[in-house]
Amino acid sequence: MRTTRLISLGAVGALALSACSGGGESVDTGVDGGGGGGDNTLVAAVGAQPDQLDPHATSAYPSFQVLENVYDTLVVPSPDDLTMVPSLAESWETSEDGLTWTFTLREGVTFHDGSEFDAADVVYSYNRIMDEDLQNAYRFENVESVEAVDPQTVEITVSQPTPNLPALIGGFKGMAILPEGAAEEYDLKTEAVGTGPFTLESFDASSTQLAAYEDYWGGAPELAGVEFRYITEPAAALTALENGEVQWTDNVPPQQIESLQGNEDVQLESIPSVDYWYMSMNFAREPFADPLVRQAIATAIDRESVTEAARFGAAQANQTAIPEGNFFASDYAPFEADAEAARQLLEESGVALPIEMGLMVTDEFPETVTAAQVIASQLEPIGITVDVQTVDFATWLDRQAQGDFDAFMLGWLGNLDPFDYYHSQHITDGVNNYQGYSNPEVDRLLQAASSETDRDTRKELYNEAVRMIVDDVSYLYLYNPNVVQAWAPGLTGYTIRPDKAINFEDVELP
Amino acid sequence: MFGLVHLVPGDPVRLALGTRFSQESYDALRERSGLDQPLVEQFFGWFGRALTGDLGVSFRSGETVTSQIAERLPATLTLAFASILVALLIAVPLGTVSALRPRSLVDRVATVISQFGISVPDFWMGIVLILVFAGTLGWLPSGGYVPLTEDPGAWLQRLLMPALVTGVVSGSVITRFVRSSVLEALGADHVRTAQAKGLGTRQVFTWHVLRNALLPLVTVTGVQLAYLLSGVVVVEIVFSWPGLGQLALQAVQARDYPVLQGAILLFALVFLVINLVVDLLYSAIDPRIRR
Repeated sequence: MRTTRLISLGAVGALALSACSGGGESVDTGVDGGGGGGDNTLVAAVGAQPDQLDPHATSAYPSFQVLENVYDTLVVPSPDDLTMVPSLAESWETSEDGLTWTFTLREGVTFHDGSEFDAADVVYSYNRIMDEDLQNAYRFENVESVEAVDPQTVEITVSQPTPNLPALIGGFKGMAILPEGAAEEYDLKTEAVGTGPFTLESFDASSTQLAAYEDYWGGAPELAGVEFRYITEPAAALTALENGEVQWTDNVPPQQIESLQGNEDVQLESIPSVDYWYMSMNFAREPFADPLVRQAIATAIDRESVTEAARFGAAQANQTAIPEGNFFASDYAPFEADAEAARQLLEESGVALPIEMGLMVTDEFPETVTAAQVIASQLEPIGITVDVQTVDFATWLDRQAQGDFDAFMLGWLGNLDPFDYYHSQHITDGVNNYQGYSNPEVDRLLQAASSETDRDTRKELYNEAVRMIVDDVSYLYLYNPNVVQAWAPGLTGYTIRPDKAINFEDVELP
Repeated sequence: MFGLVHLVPGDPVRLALGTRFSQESYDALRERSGLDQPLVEQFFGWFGRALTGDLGVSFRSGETVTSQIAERLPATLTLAFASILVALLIAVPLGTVSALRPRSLVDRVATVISQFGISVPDFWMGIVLILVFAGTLGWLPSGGYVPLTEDPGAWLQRLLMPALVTGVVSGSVITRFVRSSVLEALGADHVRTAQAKGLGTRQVFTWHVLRNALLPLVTVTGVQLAYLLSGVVVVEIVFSWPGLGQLALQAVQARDYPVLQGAILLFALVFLVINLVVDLLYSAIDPRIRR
């Protein structure tokens, strides 16, 4: 892991070097993309190889970059505001008591193997996830049954009103619909049979290749195919984009945004995402169990400079989780970076100074390491000595699960519903409440919000809970990062999305 | 080895599931991966199967370890042998010339070059090459791998830069060995005797100096080759080269024990085989060893 970090640092140095030596003029390379390129195939440079392609079993983002283009879900987040819109389901309705959801399925949809899509496929796919306790089984926590009423109608019964059910079953391709019996018929880890715009052609250690699916229900894509080429090193990915070997990449480190903005060979976009990064302290360890100590730390940290250091401006500092502009966002921001006020809070707490705090970060996400260093420098003057502990992600996750930390920093990615942002992280004994926060009032509000069907009331409930979560410093929210992607100038039909789903369905090459 | 791999902290099941999952999913995956079995049982199960050539199934991808290694072996072999070729092309002339003219300008330049090769980080050299040859000049693709059988031209284009980087690094190490062993041979008694007998310089050099200097060269080349065959992680990453180094790194990061064990087993095997080959070469070069 250390090597990876060194590489990215090296990349910055080398790029700076090339900038000095008068780069910038456009370069025409006689070099062809190689592999599948050339014939109206888009080559996308992605940072890593998918671990496997079974949508129900993987949790890896590189897998979903590919699967997004191969599989469909009943509903999908719309590209602009991420509300759930029809996909394989044309419409849906909820019963009066909120316990029965009826989905009407699209007609004339076929899988890549030619079989017809109907309600039995939905029942099969969802039961596969539930019965085998696969990765996303937790999304069916409230679901009691999934039944086919007729070939075009699926009924889902829930144990309590679940307003976020569409987000749960359509948030991403981890909830993909497979043809009935697919797991028995295919090796889904390396084969794919979806209803999406592209079919899987090949999957190896260099690239994943897709081909246009002519019978796609949304109309055949413009492209003949897509090749996802794994290029881990950002400098190599950007060079490949500049000289035309690839036409799209998301392997753009934030520190290079500025230098790329004036580059004629690259179309760069950076938009706010649905992710958030935060720090959390261990409620089971002194002196962090003391709310005054946590508040002192929340007051001493200057989120703006942490954000600037970690993301080079490609992020918005935030004191809550949900980014500005989202319907459910809260404008609550009680802390103002103030070392003097922080010192007073510490004095009030009566805790002996200096406080030693281990801050656990991982080089899997280098921005946490940078942010931690800034946080350490900001806490030093108020008498808190921060020991930045950089470990690999496997160790990090272990220590988090065992509660073996004073404080840690990480992010929650791909959030759609306020439930994703707040529920399991802050409810007493929640599966992701590693910090050990417990506030009966917050529990009550989160429970009520999770089953509240009126959108405005739901927002109020969440916002009330958020105030307490922030005041109690269950999480110390830092910032919402941007999604940064770059592509060849003249490439059309591509929409950069806040949820980082990558869809090449409507793309046309220059 | 099995024990060491499992001793490393980190839970492959938790890594595979990411951050959002339920306890039931965790237990189910743990059972499917066989990680709920006692470690001793896991070991004997693995060992028994490994004896029959079955190295198990990757946690991460669900493919067999042997197929994953086989998929990446051609790329690794290609890069390793190409790099050794580059290394020898650099090391033998450079080392010999500087030994023949010690402390001359040629010698100093050679020392500087080999010092450069050893001390410059390979990722930096790789990125600079990419920026110059793929970026500014646009002569070569920025990375990737195409099998020789598919397109020899594309194969060579993609091989040049990574082979140059690893070749320069290995070559710099080998240069120093060549220089010192040639120097040593030059000063040996039998060389003086040969010269006294009136043999020509070329004859003395080929038959009496080079042959004696070959032994250390073969040893160090063998070591370098074994190192290259176990995958050159950094260079593979910089040039998107799908070799064994990347596989091993991914396996470490994902705590993918079966793949990691398979890779380590393979690397151990490579060292054994190369040591054997080096020993056999010794006796071919040096008649004294044959007895």
